[in-house]
Amino acid sequence: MSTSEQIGVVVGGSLTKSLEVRLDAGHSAQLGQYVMTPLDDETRLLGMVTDVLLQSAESGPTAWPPPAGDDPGSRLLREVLLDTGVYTAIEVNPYLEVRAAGESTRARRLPRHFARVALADQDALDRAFDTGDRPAISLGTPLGMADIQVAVDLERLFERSAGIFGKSGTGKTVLALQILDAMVANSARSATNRDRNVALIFDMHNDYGWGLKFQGDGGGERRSLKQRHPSDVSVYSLDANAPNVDGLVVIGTRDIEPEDLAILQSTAYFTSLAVEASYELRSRFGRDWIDELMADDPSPAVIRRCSLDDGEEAASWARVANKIGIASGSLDSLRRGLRRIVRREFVQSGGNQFNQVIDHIVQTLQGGKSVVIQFGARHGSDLTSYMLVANMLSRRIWEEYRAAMEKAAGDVSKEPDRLVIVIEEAHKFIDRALAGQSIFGQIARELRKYNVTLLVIDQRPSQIDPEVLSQIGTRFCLQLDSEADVEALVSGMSGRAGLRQVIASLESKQQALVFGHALPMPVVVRPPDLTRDSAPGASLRTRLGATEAQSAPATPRGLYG
Amino acid sequence: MTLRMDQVVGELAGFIERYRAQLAAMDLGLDAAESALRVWALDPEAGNRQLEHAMVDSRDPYAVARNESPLGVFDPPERGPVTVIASDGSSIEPDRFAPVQCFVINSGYVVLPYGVPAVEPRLGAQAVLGPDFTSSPDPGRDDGGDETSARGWGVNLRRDVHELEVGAWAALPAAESGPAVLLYDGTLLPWDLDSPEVAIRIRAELQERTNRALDDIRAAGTGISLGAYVSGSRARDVVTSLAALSPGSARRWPEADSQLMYRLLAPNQRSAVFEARSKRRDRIEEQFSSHQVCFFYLRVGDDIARVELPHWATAPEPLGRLHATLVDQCERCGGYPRALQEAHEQAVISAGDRLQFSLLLERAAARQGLQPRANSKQMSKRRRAL
Amino acid sequence: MNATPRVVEAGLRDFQCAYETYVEDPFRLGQLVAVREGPAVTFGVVADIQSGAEDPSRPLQSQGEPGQTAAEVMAENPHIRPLLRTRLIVACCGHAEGETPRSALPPMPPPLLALVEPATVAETIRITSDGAFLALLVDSSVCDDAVIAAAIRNAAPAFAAGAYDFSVRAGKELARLLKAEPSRLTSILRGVAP
Repeated sequence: MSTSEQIGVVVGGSLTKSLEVRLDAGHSAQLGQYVMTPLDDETRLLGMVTDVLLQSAESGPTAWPPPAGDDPGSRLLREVLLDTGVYTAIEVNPYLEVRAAGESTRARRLPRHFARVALADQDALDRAFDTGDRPAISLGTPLGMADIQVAVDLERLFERSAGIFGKSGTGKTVLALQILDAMVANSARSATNRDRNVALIFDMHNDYGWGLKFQGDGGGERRSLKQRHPSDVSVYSLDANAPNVDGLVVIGTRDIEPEDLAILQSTAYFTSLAVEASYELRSRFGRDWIDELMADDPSPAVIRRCSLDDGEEAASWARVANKIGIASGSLDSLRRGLRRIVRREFVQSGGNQFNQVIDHIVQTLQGGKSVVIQFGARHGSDLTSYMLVANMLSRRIWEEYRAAMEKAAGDVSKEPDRLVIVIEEAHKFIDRALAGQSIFGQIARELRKYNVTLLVIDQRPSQIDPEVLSQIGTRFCLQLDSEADVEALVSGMSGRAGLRQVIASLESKQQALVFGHALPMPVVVRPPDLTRDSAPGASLRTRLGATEAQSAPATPRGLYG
Repeated sequence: MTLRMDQVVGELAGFIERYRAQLAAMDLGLDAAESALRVWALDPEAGNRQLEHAMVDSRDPYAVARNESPLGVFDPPERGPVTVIASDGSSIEPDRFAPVQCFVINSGYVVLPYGVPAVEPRLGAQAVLGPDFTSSPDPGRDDGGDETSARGWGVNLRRDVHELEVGAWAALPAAESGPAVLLYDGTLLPWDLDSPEVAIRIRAELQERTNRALDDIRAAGTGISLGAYVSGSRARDVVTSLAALSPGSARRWPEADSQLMYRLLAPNQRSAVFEARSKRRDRIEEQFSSHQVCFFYLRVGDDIARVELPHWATAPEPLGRLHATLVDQCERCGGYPRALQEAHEQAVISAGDRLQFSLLLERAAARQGLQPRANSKQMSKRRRAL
Repeated sequence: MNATPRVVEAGLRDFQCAYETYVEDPFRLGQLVAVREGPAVTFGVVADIQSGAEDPSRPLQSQGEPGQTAAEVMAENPHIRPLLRTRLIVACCGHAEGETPRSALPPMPPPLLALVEPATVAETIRITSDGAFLALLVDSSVCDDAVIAAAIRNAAPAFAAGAYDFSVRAGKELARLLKAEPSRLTSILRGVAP
């Protein structure tokens, strides 16, 4: 048993809520720190501090506080009453039973009254967060323990969708980059596609391609995925003039389907009636429906299909609307919206371009490379472009993946690489209203049935459809201001009252609470610094304690020998 | 109304008149006594010779003048550092219903230093159990009591002698460290030394012990004063002498010396020292030839005390020390010498102590097979049963 | 004159001891004392000190000239001091059978007429160090708050540099015993501070 210094004793509590620990004189603990207490000779209970309270054992001392003077009598009185009449207590969420030998399990027992409580030591945390020889991503140092590192099992992290949440400026992008960097590094050394994860990243602000604009220490730029893993990452852009790209994303008007427009209701491009109208028009006019609608006047083909060639009046879009049975206002709104879309430089008339792009991207992904779709300065701040492109690409790629998985029919060697789709501003895509229409909602709900998961990066989790949010397995939570956002993240988790408190106490930078599917228990971490010279895959740990940078170059023998 | 006023009220005037006459007669008597004293003072030697004649056929006690004029009155000298020692005795009488007849004598003593740092104040008591059965009894001598019965044991006499011895025992060490005054309560010589009730052998033994104690005190020198103190004295030695010096006087003489002395002495003053003489005393005096009893009177507030002391203690230095100490001691204790009061407190056997002794005696006797004798009167109560 | 008192009445929870006469400087309130005779060494804390006439039927009268000190009055009246007594009431707070002292009532009362002596520094430390002796004092019918405060105050110097820490330890033990009487705790601790 460890000989960590005792900080207090257990005086009460419940397994479903929290333990109450009375601190010994002169000791303190912070929110988010780990403590441990013996359950029996072999096992320790590991838990996290979720509240710190000043208590009074009797009403006397607080009703009649001792005098504040410096005379010996007052000093003695204060010192005696501290930790007797009044004392400090902490609430601890119990999480794990850690054994001297063997696996750690979820906490099912409580310690006895007056069991001694100590700060968790390295040994306990190592056992708790043990990832064995499996690849893991270093999360940084737990709160109050600067010489210990915790890591998250990579496989478990991407088994389900994951999310990085926090208000702007808290470091979501840096954290996402470190995670993706490690993932790419791991995939690069994986021999089979069973062990490989590839990412499709919809990069709103050009952070994940060549370089990341760093706002932290010293500022400047940090090398991003392409620089770190030149042969494992491909970068596409919507911007024809963008440097350092491997491909251009072009959308043809024939590629846009009404389903693609549905998601743009949240940006107020299309009303729901307009979207409904687009389905009707698409079925009537076929794949050229947008080109047709862009004409000032209905084309002869349109006239013919709408049976407007009876010669009574001049053909107009109003008559077309009338004929089809949609409100002319809706048709006008639809045409206006479409016009705004086709004006974008990456939208061209026609239709073959997109399929080529899709095929290209899919091949790249299947080849084991990750793909970054950059929106850049020109389109990154254009939410509509982002949503349109991300949705269109994701939907079609997902379709490919589904087909491929069904074709593989259980033969693992034929299955495509596991795909992680990374989207920012997720609440725009998967809020309550749109969750049904968005491909991302569907992906999240279907778990990893088709080898596709999400990594969402967002600052308003309260706006995400709760059902979808509940499918996000592992959550990285940076500082959040809104109570609603915090509540949305912790809802459904055990000990959520304590987690709420911990989140509320996070620093504005470089502090995150990580919890969920991939971790045995929540942990408050200080993520590693992203320095100028940090090596590619710096956060990847292939075996306990070793990082990618330290381990031998990837050879079949060196890797597992 | 139950008092027959008519039977007494008529008598009142005559009664008071006779009383006034008596007062007047008493005053006249005092005047006569005072005159006689003046006459005596003119030629004390002649007066003494006259008294010798008068004493021949009388059993009364007489006072004979010594070195000081009979009319003399003396103020107390200043009191210097002195250790005052006093002793007093009390006793438990033999109980005829006890399983073993015995007596207990308890003599209390005090040693009180006033301005004598070398002496530590002490208060205590010495107790003895008696009689002593080891010496063979002396039955049937016709001149003395039967020693085999309690009546012959002379408990009072033994007590007086024990008290004297304890006083001397306490005083002698103290006297080595400075001037001392030894006080007793009552007469100087034990009273029952000539009592026929006490067995002769016992009287003889006690007389020898008395002599020895007085010898020891005398041997300590003039550094130790000795006095036996009687407060509220009713003696009339001096008056008897004055009456003998004025034969044929029809005056009614004062009933006690104290009445005369009250006239003569101012508070704290003493009278002249007289020698105490009588036929009875002569008999005793044969036994104490080296310790002739003298006395003087001392006025303490409104009380006249009689102080007896042996002739060898009447030298000016010890006498003056005695006078000054008595005045000082009486001031400390509301008119009675403090040391004697404390010695009395140490001597007293409380009712609780008496009861406890009685119980212990019964228990000790029972352990050795002795039962208390039945009281026939108590038995008679039992015989009344039908 | 023997200046060490002896036991004159003895019980398990407290005992009385008396000097042979009146002394001006007896043991102090709160002082830890030891009776070393008998099968166990008995430790106690002085809870009351009274001086006065031995015989209640002869009370001491106020006397002396104006301006005279007590010592001067005593010297002028030497019969007084032997008739006075100084008595102490001692509350038992521990005992030792063999080497180990314990903060528990002694198994039997101290022997009558046994000498009562001051506890040594080592004994004081052993009996008072963990504060458990305070439970006996709090429960004692002869101890009030002033006695408890004096006991802690008198024991503290035995710990030298650790005197303050001892006072705090004792105070915390008292806080536990008196948790239902916070104002009592406060008044006692005020009396503890040097």
